[in-house]
Amino acid sequence: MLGLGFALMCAILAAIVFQQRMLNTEQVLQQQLDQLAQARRHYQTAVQERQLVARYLPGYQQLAASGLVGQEHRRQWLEALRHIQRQHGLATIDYRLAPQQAYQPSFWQDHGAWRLYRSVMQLQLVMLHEGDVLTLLDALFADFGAVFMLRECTLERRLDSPTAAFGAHCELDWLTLDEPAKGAY
Amino acid sequence: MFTRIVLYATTHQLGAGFWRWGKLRWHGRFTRDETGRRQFGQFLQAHGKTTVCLLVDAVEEDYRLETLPHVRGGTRKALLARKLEQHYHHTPFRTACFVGCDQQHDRRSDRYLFAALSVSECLQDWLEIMAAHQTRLQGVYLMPMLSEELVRRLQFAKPHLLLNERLNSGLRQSYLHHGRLLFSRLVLMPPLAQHELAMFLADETEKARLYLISQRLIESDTALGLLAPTMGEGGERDVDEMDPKQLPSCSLDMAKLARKLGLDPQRLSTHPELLHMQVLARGGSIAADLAPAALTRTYCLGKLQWRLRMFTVAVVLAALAFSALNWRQGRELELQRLQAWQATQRQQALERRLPQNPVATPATGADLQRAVTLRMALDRYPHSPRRMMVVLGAALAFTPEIRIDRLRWMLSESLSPADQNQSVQSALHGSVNALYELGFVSGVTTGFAGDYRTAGASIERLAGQLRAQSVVAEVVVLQAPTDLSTGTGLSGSTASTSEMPQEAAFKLKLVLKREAT
Repeated sequence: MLGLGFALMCAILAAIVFQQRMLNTEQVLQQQLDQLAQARRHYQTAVQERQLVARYLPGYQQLAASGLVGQEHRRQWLEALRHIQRQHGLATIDYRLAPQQAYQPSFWQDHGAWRLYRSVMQLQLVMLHEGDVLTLLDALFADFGAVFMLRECTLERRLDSPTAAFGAHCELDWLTLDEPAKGAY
Repeated sequence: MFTRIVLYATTHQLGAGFWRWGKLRWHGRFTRDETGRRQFGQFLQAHGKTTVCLLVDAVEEDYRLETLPHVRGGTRKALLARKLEQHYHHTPFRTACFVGCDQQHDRRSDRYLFAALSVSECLQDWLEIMAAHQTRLQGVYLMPMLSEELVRRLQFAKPHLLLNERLNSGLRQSYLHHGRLLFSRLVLMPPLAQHELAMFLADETEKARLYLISQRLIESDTALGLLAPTMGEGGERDVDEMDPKQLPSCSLDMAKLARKLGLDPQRLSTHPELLHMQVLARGGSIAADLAPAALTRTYCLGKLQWRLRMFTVAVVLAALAFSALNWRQGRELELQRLQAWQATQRQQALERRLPQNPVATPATGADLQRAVTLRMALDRYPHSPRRMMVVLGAALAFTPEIRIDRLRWMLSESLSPADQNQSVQSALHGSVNALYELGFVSGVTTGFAGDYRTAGASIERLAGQLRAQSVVAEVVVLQAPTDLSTGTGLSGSTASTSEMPQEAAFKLKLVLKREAT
């Protein structure tokens, strides 16, 4: 009986030890599987990141060159206005540029790390022909592309003026993307 | 467990059989004298740990059939103990067997057979020797109680059966009702009876029948079946010579039975009690035990010890199996962990081997994508009112009497913006996250001269021309030369047409469809 008791004790002890070892191994395996999953995620993210960069970097570089990214180029805008007015023989253009403010357009909800700003410009001009406003806006678009967005334009016939047939009042947004902090990437 | 000693005690001697793996071997007899006791002691010493069953075949036995109220559990136990004490207070070798139950109306009662060895002096010597050797005595059993088991195994289905067994100690007659023993007796056979066995059997059977009738166990006209185990042709003849008209008899070939039970027929002819000993050895504790608890304590302790040992062995085996299972599972898990580690290393190496970006980017790929998406969204919207002016120009070509004085063009998130404090709900269903290109057109019809019908028709024609163009989504007349609807007020003069205004003002709202990208 004593021998049997000793055998019983040893068997139970062995069962406890082996079960504990199995549980420990199971825990270590789970940790290793987590690490593997993390490594796979990292790899997939890295591959995806490189694919995205390869695909969208040229477009972004074009944006940066057009002046959408970074600081505002107010001087260039105003110089462009003067230049267009002189080049196309337009009448005087009165402008008013509001301070820059943050802008969250409805058509661009997923902005990520970017911050979009706009400066609202109001243009007032008189014209001999209604096509002059199109000339002005086309020239601005040719110079700055997607940097500005025309929001509103009102054309009115001026029956009381002998020198100008039409008056135009336009409102456009000069857009700027604030570059994300470089340290974050 | 697989070996057992079966002792067969009569008044004068003790027979011993050694049962192992289903085979019973006759060992010998021990006489009730000093030599026999010494030899028995030596026999027990040689088989110290073996379980012993004691089968008693003696004249000093008593059977009582009694009906008791139906009770259960401790109450029944106490009732039976009280009855046993009442009937057999002078002997410790006694027992009660359940025979059956009766149901009369709502009252249920149980029938019990109380049995006892009324005089136990013949056993005392042997029991003392067994006690001295701490023999594991399983129990003390009466011979006829094994006859019950024997008949059950032979499957004799007679309701009333008288079993005649010719033993070395005499003729044993046992009455069984539906297979349950109700009465038994041992008749000593005088030497003369050996030669006229048939007559002796017939006489004793008649005596037994009369006794059973007197005890109201059977009626006088009850068909009492007679079963007589015989050995060889002579025995069968003895049975056949009995009066068959009075008792329907049936003989049993003991030689066949012996072979069936694994006994030597030759040995069985000289020791008929071997049959009962074999049944007892095989069946274990099938028969009611007469031994008091004090005599079987060693056996009970041994049994408990054996069970404990078996339990321990079972637990040890289970624990070892559990350990082996865990060890195997642990190895499999370790292998999986190693494979996962190698896969992780490979994955990390793959990541390290990825080519670096050709140029440093100020933003992540996803943010670059977002910036380009903004550019694409901006490109979708017009940068001038050219499209609306073209649409208006095309419509005005068909309505030269109309002059446009004001055009307000806008990109709006709403389909119903206000213009000059005037707002009209659009019938279009707008979508979110989109800008709509719409305009408010104000003008006049020239050459009016008070003809509201013609002016209104011109405005409608202009609106129709606009609606006919594929890029136009909606045209709403906000203001007509004369509003004839019942919800508005109307004032004017019927004076001559020369005094009427020359122009009739109107206002339209125009919504263009979005350009296809």
